[in-house]
Amino acid sequence: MDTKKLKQAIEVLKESLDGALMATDIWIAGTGTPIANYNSNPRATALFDRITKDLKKSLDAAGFPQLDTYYLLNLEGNKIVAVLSFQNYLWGMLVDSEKVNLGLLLNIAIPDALKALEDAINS
Amino acid sequence: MWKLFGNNHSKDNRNSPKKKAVKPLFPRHPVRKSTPSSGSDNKTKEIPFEERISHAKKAIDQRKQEREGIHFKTKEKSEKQPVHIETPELTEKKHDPVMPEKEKNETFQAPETSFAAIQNQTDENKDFIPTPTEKYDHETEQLVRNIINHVNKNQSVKAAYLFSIDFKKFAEIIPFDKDFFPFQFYNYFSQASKSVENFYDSRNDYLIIHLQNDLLLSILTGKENYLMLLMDSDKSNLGYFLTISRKELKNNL
Repeated sequence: MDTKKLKQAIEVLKESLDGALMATDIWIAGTGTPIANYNSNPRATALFDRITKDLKKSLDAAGFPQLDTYYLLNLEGNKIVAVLSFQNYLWGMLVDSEKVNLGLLLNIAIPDALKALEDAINS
Repeated sequence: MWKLFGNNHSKDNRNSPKKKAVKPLFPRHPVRKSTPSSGSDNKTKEIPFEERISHAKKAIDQRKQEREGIHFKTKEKSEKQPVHIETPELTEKKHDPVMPEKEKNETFQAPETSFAAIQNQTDENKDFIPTPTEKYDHETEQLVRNIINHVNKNQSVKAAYLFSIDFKKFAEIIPFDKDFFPFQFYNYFSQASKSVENFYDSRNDYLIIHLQNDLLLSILTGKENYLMLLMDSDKSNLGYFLTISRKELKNNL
């Protein structure tokens, strides 16, 4: 894993979201401790690490297919929380939905971020 | 899904004139209709709703026990292996190489909610298996069906379930053609949703989960109800659904 490229991946995300990114953390699943971040919130990282772990178990228990690349929560008050999952890595982000629309987030920012993350991990 | 309500499919006799007045709460999906068992006289009585719920609870319990590592930690186990969230390492302010300190102070900070409190609350409720006890009225079900039909002309919605937020009511609007246990997932969702809402001090509007096999699982929050939808991510018009249909749902549910 190339940590420099991880930081570049965050830059890619910031650029895609054009000022809408409020905070982001990349961490290894199960640790809850960020390895790269922007305006880091360790409490959020720990919370979403736990939520993602339980989500995977619950999907399985409910008979649904497994989590693929992301899940997101749209909160009242113009906040979107998105968590990307790639291999053993999780990438959480808090986005201001007033500054970016969902289409840009789902169709441009998230795919670009995942590509950059994949590149960093495989380096 | 139908395992939840006992294994009485072959004895079900909905078409019998004697049974017409008793409408089953969760009618079986046509795909899963099994051939009548040999020797059955098709005259067995309907199982009461409460009993079916009890069967459902037992089935979920059994399934939980069978699946190694899937059931959540019990309270006792949690006490033995406490999760220490607020370690000095986590709470310590680290130098952020990406962002200047001045700019950092001006950006968003999540409210200082007690994560430990959320954690404890979640642990305590994890083994709770919700069971619905009431039906939705026909008008509500029809309303939801109509809203879904607007975006389902290309058959992108694979399954749809309606839950009241207190989980007293449940309706299978569009059943899926395989065994799902939406109750199990609802339990997780309600806990996770509460944790996130407490953490950010904002109500959850909707959740979208990208699943394998090109599926999207979304849960929309209405005034008193949740609508759980399993959609085909290739065919679905998610944008339309999350703007127009969601407004209709929010205003009416």
